[in-house]
Amino acid sequence: MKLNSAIRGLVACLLFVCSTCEASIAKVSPSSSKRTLIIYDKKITDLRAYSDYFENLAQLELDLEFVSVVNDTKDIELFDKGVKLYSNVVLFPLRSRKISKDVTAETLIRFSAAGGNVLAITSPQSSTEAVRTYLNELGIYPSPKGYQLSDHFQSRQDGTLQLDEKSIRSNEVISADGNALLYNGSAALLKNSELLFPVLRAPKTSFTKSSRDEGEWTTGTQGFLAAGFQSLKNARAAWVGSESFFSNAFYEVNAKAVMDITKWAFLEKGVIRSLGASHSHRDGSTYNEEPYKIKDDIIYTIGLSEWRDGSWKPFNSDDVQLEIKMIDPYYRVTLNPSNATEEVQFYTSGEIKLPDHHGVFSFITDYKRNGYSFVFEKDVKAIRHLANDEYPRSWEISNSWVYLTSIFAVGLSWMLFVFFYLTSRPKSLAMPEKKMQ
Amino acid sequence: MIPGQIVACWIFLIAFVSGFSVKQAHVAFKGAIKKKPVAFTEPISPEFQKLSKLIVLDAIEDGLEVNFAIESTSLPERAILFLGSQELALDTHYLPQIKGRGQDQSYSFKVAAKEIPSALIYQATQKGESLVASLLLSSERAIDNIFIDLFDLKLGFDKPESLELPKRLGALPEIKHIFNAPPKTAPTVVAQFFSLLVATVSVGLVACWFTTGSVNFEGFPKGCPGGQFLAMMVSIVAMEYVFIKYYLGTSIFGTLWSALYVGLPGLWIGSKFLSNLK
Repeated sequence: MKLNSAIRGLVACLLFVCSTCEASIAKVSPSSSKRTLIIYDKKITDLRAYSDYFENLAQLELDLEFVSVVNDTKDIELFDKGVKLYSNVVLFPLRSRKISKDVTAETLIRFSAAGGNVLAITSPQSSTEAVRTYLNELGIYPSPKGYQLSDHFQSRQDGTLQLDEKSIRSNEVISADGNALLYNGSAALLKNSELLFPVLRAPKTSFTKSSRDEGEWTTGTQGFLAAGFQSLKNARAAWVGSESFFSNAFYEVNAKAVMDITKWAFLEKGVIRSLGASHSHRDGSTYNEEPYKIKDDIIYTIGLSEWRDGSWKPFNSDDVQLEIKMIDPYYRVTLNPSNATEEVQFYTSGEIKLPDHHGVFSFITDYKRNGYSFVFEKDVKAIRHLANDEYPRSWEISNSWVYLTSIFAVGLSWMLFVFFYLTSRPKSLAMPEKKMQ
Repeated sequence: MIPGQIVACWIFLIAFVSGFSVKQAHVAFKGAIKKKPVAFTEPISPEFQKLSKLIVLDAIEDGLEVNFAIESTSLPERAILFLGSQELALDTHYLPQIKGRGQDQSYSFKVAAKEIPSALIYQATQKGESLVASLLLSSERAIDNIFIDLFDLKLGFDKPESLELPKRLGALPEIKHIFNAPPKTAPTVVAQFFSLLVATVSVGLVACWFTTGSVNFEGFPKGCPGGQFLAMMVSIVAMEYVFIKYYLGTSIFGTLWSALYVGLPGLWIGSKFLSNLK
């Protein structure tokens, strides 16, 4: 008895601790750490020219560390004994070919693979090989050094272009507000990749060319000015081909777009989470209470939240899908929004009749959309075939009615025959004797 | 004209606009079926109105050329032909072949249907959208650079089977499981008819026994054999009952025990009764 009460007390304590943690986690930002390294080249980047941007970064409560490659090159390290030191890295354009001895393209790729977020800013004057190789690995091919984005139809004297709303290619990253953006920099070509997507596109009449009269690097909308990349582990990388895009000179116009890109890159925007998927019988009984069998009617539900403006809010979408698959998908249905709370929007499949094949099935929601963190929920459950007493009984099948009638008719006739045979006396069949003459 | 030959009929038009003096602008076709070239009757200028006539490529092997000449004194730094889908906001571009060193330089943009990017072919053949061909002629600091829509291009052939679009994240096509068809059963009316027929035959059999006088109850056992007879009949009915219970779901083990309890006394009393029959 004492042991039982002790265990109950322990469980109660654990539940209390868990619920407290859950309540506190509910309001916490999705980016677990805020430590952010900003690498720049003081020869070409005067941080004072970006003070507005850094002020806004500070509002995100980021723990900023500034390192110039000129003096502190030896001190730049992204890992300590294999452990990632920073959550985010901002790479400003560098004049040198290398970032540092320890920070190479391979290090940056390892940093991304470890879940680190990178915001890479290049410019027509930058030529850092490590950054270029890293971007090439993601599928972003910025123009070579000296190539500038121009447009005969709208270039100002200093080469600044005005980007209208049509240039914004990802509303998930930059929320268009109808205002034009100012851009002075280079453009890049993008590889065909599902994980890479354009954020800003060059105007149709623009082109990227060097002053040395070489061929065009990009022509028209073939060129991209900003792009986003999200790995399958939800690590993000964003690239912008203009340093001045972030500068105080353009900040009044570009502030919203700049912060949208930064927030997205640092997992402060476009982050969705699942509050667990569940499925049950139509009547609400769970799999544990009554394992599924073929042709059972079930209901699948999943709740999704989006981190928006500093808190979790319901994530609204019309393309959340459920797959029920055993090697190949048997079902792929789009879920319908059901109830919602202040933080969560729930989606339901409605009633689904399980396949008439038994086996081990996976119930999967694999929500991967450009601009949003990926959600993957998978539950593996066995679907059994019918037990021998769960098939329809013979009297329910019309074919059997003739046989059943015959069986009972023979049985009844047999009983009557026995009864009549034993209670009746045979009539005399004796023929009249012939008279003897 | 032989198939595949470029058909060109020059209609001389001169457009003097800004620095670019565009002449002889027309669209020529290349393909198995001979087609007359289409001339731009309106001068190529920033105010140019898109050709009202739809340009059609009938086969994947077909192609077209957008040709014009520009005076050497006013050559643009950039001359590009765009072909794109407005719905997808996607386009591709073509650079010209420039020939001639005299007074005029001829510009020729060659568009082969099979070399159009797959996304545009898909959009034009599957969605039925006409692609828009636009011309860009521009130079730095020129006042009247030209960027105009020239014509709409329709692809009048089916989507090539080999065409594949690049993969993009997004919702996938829905799949609904197709269940096996339920086993076929006899129509209810037919089953009821034959069941009734069997019942009628059974009743007819009993009626036949009575009408022929075979049943007369004159030998009904009385006294002690009468009790044995009743016990035997009860055991027969009980065995039938055990059988019905088995059919309705009683387990085989329960049925065997029941059959044992009913069958053994029934056998004993039945044999006793039958041996006493005279």
